[in-house]
Amino acid sequence: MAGATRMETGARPGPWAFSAAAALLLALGVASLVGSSGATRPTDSVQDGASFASLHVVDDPSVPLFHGLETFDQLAGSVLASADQSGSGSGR
Amino acid sequence: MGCGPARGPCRAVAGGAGRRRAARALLVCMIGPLLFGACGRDADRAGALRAFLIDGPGPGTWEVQGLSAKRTTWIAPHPDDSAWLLKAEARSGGDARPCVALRGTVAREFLEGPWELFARNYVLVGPGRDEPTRDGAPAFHLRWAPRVEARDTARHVWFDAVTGQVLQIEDVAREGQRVRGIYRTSSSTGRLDPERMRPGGVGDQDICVQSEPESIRMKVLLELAPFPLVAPSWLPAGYERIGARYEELDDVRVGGVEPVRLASLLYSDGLGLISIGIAVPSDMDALQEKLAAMGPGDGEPGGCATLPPDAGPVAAGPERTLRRRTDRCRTVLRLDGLEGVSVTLLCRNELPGDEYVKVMESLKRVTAP
Repeated sequence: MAGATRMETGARPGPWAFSAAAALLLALGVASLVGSSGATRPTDSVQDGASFASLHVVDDPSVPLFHGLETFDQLAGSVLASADQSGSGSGR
Repeated sequence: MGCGPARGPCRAVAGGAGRRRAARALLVCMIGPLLFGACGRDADRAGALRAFLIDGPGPGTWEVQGLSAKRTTWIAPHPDDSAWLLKAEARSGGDARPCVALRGTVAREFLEGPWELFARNYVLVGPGRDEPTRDGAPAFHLRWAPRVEARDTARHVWFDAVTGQVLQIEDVAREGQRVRGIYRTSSSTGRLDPERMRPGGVGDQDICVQSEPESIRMKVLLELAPFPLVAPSWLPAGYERIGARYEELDDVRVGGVEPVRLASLLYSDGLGLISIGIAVPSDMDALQEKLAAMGPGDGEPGGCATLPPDAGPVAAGPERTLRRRTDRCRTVLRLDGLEGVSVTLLCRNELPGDEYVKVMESLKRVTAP
């Protein structure tokens, strides 16, 4: 507060005023750095046969990967028409 | 965040009279990135990306790549109304007749997720660097990453070194695989011919057909779907439902008679997408068989041509078994036996696999919007 008063009266700020701002910035910077690097990286832990609370996960090669379809919304476009043109089995 | 000595507003001001200005500039440069994601020229570039997302791409030739296909579009300014763009699919031979699109819908079509969610969930991270585009144009490269910790999706954007405009965007998933690429390959609008536009109002104007998944709300979907509707009760952080759709697919018929009836839900965090399809098991089987026969549209631009070989079905219990097929670029999850329907989840591996399993695990019957 004293620093603010001195600034308002037009006096030159003492070196401590800048130091206070620098300390604030340093704290923010440190907080930012901690926030960006402090978390652990989750691993893709889904394995064949893994059991979650209520689901049992199995890798099933009979489930197609749907080449050419990345969202069901694309069905509204020309996806099925292009499937007819591309022929069956290509890409698999 | 880059606030180096050459970055205009972030430059330190020397001299006693400039000390306060220097402190203020330093404050802006230190706090600005935390609040706004950018400062100085990076802020200008962030503004250019915002303009791209909201107002659409600039004029030129744009190539858009997904995992399975790519297409090239010519974009030109509308001659009379700056709220609109002229757009035509690039093709060989003859002048192309453009259709008219609201500016913002073009970026949405290119990027799929709403810009509002991207702005909320992603933040500029630095420092950027000078790096040419795929086609060799001088550019400055910046990266936006999720605010959620320990998530590896990112949007990389290349800005023209001179004009600052967006030249190229690449969205990458957690293992660095590109799920989406948008490239301005030329400033030329190709053979798009504004003279061939047909203004004149309803029935006469060439309005581009836009996919509007938001146009169907859950309430309508509940009324339309002739089977129990299920939806996730849990979503990964930042994800929201951005679409709900019901279709009767005449191209896919069960036993050659009845069209497949499919309800679909689309979720996004502004970059990643989770698509969920719901149908009765026989319809889902028919749709799966049809889609399984599809090949990549144009040489697998996403670089995921290598698929694990088919090896026949695995033994699985009738209920509570989540069947999965995954490669580097895609994951498909299928759950049967929930409320008498089959649910299939499609994604591009933007998130760790656990997250998609949790989404499926949280599925619950929806009885009210």
